[in-house]
Amino acid sequence: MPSPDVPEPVLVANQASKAYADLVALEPLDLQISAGTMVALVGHNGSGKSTFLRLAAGLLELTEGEITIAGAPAGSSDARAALSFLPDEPVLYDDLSVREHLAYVAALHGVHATGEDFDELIGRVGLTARADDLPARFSRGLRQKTSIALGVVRPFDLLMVDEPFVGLDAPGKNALLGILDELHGHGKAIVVATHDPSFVELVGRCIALRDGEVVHDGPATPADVLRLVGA
Amino acid sequence: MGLVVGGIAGDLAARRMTGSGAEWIGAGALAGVTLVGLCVGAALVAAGTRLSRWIASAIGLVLVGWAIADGIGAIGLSPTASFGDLVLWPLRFHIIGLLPVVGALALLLAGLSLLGRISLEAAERRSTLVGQLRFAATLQDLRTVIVLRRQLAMELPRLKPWVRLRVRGTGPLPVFVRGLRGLLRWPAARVVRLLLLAGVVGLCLRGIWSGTTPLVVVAGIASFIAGLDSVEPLAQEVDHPSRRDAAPLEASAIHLRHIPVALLTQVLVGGVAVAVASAPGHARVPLDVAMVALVPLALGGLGGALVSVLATPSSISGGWSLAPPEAQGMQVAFRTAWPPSIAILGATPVLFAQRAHEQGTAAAAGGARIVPVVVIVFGLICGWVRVRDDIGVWFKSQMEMANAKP
Repeated sequence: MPSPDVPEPVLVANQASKAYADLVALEPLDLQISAGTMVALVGHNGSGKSTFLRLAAGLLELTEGEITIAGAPAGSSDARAALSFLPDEPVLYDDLSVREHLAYVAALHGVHATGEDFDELIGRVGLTARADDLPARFSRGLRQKTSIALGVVRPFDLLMVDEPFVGLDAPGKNALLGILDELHGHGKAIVVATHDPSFVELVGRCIALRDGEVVHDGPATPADVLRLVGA
Repeated sequence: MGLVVGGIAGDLAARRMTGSGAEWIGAGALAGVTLVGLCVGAALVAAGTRLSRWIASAIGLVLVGWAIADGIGAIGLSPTASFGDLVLWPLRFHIIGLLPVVGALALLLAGLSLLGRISLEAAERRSTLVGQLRFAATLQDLRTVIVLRRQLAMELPRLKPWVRLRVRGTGPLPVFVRGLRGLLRWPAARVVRLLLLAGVVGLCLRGIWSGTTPLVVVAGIASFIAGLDSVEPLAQEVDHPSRRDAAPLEASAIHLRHIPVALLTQVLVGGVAVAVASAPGHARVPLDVAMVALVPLALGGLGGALVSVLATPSSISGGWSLAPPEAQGMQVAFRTAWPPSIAILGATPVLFAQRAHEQGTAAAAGGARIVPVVVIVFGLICGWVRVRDDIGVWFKSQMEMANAKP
């Protein structure tokens, strides 16, 4: 029986691996991420960060092993309800405005929200002036902000974000960090895959991947990250 | 293509008109080639002179308006009348029928001489898209072809919807409302295209009623093309699977909930077609017969479009790649023909009504005989939409089990 002081793991990876024919994208990985933890997932290009996130989101199929989200197999509807995944390339409908996107995504997840709730969230990510525009035609940074709003408008236990700072301006980055901090404060588990070594200073746990293998799991400094995974 | 289609049209005309079949086929083929020449030549000249879209559209509208005015006898002569003279050469030879042929040649020559003035930026963009479009067409991926064609035509959703459905928060029927919001951002070109397709369907129904049976194919294909636009909100889900799959609902459940708004659109298209078919004039379809055709037209066009959008495109690495070429060919032919065939089935009630009318029985009742078949086929398609993912999972597990056996 788990101790009441130890939070339940939200994500459990057990020998989870991914290979494309003879190319191994992710070596067998054992990992647990508990509620209320913020984790930085670092590594160079091709180290397996995005592969791991997409496996957990159910967008890729495991070659071996298993991943559970809130006790449900990755990709199942219960797991999808518990995990909010923000991919590195924002995925947005061509024919809906920012506000309409929020209303649709929130409603699909059974959220009861008012127009004011959406306006507040839109304001936080700095899109108030563009709320009725089509985000599919925005610049990369603005699409990223829309994607962030869509990721947090719905309920979740675990938020996984892939390269969220790419394309964001300084106010956008600060807004995102503020949102992540607030969610962390509310006991949500957060995993951020990033190339930005400075982010590890803000989290208590850093998982470093190199060529599909975990080479570090614990507290780290930006200097550690550079040493572990290179510049 | 112009030669073949024109020749076939000429052959069909020869069965109803005086004159030899060879003359009609020849005139049809010449008219088909001329039409292609006019279109390509006009496009080359427009690109070479960097004509703005609005001016090009305005010229097109003036020509169409001019032709309509000539058709209803409001004015004496229009440029398109000379094309009619060319088509009707087997009935009466008018030298004026040579005008479109000369015009097509002139436009092609002018267009070729202006090639050097074509915008390189636009040409590069078009060539990239056309390359992708050809590849998608090779794979029979109609949805990708549609998306790329829209990009080529710069057919983008409107920044300001025709009517804004204000977001007051989350509410009931989110998928239906999302579909409506998508439809309200349709560009004018798409709305006009659907109205034109509805008009074509209506005119075909008149032709079927007056005895030209092959027009049922044209009506079905026009209804199918309209259906491909009507299912756009659903197609958006198919185009963005990771966004759709983030929801704690099965993809098939979301797809199914998109059907009502698409059906509503198709019923509107069918309504316009029925209005055109039953409007006073030559070969008017009786209103009761046209009304019988309304629901099957909508269901047929939508059913075909659903199958087309949701069917997984052929994969060069799929199991079919190991099948003999004959089997692969049959599979490709079936995949291509099945969706429009459903739409053609939906266009048959007027044909059945016309047959009943010829036999002296009640026309509308004769047309209604096929309606249950169309409804059942559409119901089966909806069932397929709901369970197709489960079938795919089951099939994959069976394949894995079979492969795992020593």
